[in-house]
Amino acid sequence: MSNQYSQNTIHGCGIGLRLDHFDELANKPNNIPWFEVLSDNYLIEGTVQRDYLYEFRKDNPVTFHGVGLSIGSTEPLNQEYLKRLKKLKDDVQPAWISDHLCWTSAHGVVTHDLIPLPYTQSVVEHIVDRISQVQDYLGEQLVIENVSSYLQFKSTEMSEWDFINEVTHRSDCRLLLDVNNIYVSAQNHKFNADDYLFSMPAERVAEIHLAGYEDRGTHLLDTHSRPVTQPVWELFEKAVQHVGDVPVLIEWDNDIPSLDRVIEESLTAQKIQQQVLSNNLHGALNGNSV
Amino acid sequence: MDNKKAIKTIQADFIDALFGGDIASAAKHVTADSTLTAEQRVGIYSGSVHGILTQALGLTYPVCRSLVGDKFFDNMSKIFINKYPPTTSFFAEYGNNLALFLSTFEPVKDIPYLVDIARFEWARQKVYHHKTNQQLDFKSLAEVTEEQQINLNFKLSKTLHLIQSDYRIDDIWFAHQEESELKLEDIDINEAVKLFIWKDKVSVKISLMSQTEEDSAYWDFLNAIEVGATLGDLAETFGEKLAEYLNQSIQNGWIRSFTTH
Repeated sequence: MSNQYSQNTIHGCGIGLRLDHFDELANKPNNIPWFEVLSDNYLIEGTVQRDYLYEFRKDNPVTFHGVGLSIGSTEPLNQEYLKRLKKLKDDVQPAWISDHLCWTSAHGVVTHDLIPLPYTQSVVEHIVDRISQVQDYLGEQLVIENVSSYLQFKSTEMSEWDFINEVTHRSDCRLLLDVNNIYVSAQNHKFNADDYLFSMPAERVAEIHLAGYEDRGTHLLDTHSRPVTQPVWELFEKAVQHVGDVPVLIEWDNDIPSLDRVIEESLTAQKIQQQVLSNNLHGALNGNSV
Repeated sequence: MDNKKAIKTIQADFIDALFGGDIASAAKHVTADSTLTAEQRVGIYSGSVHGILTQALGLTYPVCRSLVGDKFFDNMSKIFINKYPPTTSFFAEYGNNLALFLSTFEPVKDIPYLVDIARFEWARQKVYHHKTNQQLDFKSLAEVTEEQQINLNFKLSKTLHLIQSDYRIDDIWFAHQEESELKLEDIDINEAVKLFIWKDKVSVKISLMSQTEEDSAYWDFLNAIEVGATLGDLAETFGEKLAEYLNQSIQNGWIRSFTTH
């Protein structure tokens, strides 16, 4: 199946591939540079969605993004899930596969939600071992995303950013830097988002995520149902300064608007990214430190 | 307690709290502040998990949702989710117990066809998500000896599902489709039906098989296969029609394989 696919160059500002936009994407040319595929929705062979993905991939660069690895769980890795993911990877050839630094299932129950972990040395060891197992099985580096959270554990021993640095370094995985998640967690736990952002290992960042949250009064909820907010755009500017020219993706999973509206959001991201990169270039040419 | 055991305990307590158990058991691991208590923070996750799963159930069971109303469906889902937490990573495989749950759920007893609508919607979901089989190889069937034929069992394709109901569930379902002009009040709800729910390349089709004796007999034939009738049993029951039914079923791709023991 390999030779029927287009090049898989991931660059610029892409969007998530969503069922709501299938028909429009199939029938109308677009200039979207790449798409992120929610891999968990395509893990059943023979489905109409999977056939659509095979067709779609012929003309579009894609990456995979999932929630089912449950990398922080204390139960054994789900071999059936991994097997299906690898088969889909072999069939579709995404540029990379990402999942979240959290747990989603334990004790035989799958929550389908992203539950945070206590940030301890013991959990670092546990996660590093599991990421290594996944990377060995898939035969490639995994890309791990920082999650938004609404609680912290009493047993936590280190900051989330130190935890991420140690996990990514020791497992030699890459990082999906979700800027919205940093902002949401910073507001919910009252820490400085800049401290988190500028501690991130820039050289490991494969991708940036942007999305919209809901303000629930007592906390921000990461719903992916709204436009990106102004403070997150501002943090994104800083993120581009920190990590440079990295692919960016707009996530919109609930109350999904028209394709044009999602594209509009990605163009805003592109404009900000290009402005920051251009300023950095000019600064460098003028001998300023950037 | 060693650290590995500690995280295992945290996850067990969270699973319990998220699916209707005691929130305090998870909250004891969580810090509180002036904005939210530890219980409230765990409650955010409980709400989020139920929201995700209720949305998934609503997508699988849109007509059930419409029949009972959004608010009722959401509240009912909460009870269902706590009773049947997901054990699968694949959304398309979650919710198979809803018909069973509804069959003993007293608040819906006034909608007697709801259980069968749930069975119908689950069948649509299952059929839709199954791969269309290669047609059964006639040659392999011809190689079966006469002795083996007596105990031969056919297997139906998973892209075909048979449903029988005391209610006109196909029309009830159609009446809830956007493009349908059929109104619920115009349906003779108490008309019993036999249905095929099957996948035709990319879409799920419904065939009503109880309008004529011929259709009904063909439904009975495939149903007999599904419940384990041997070729000998089928020959005895369907006599001269057997060859025609078998041929038709193989052509339709509804018989995927056979065993001879």
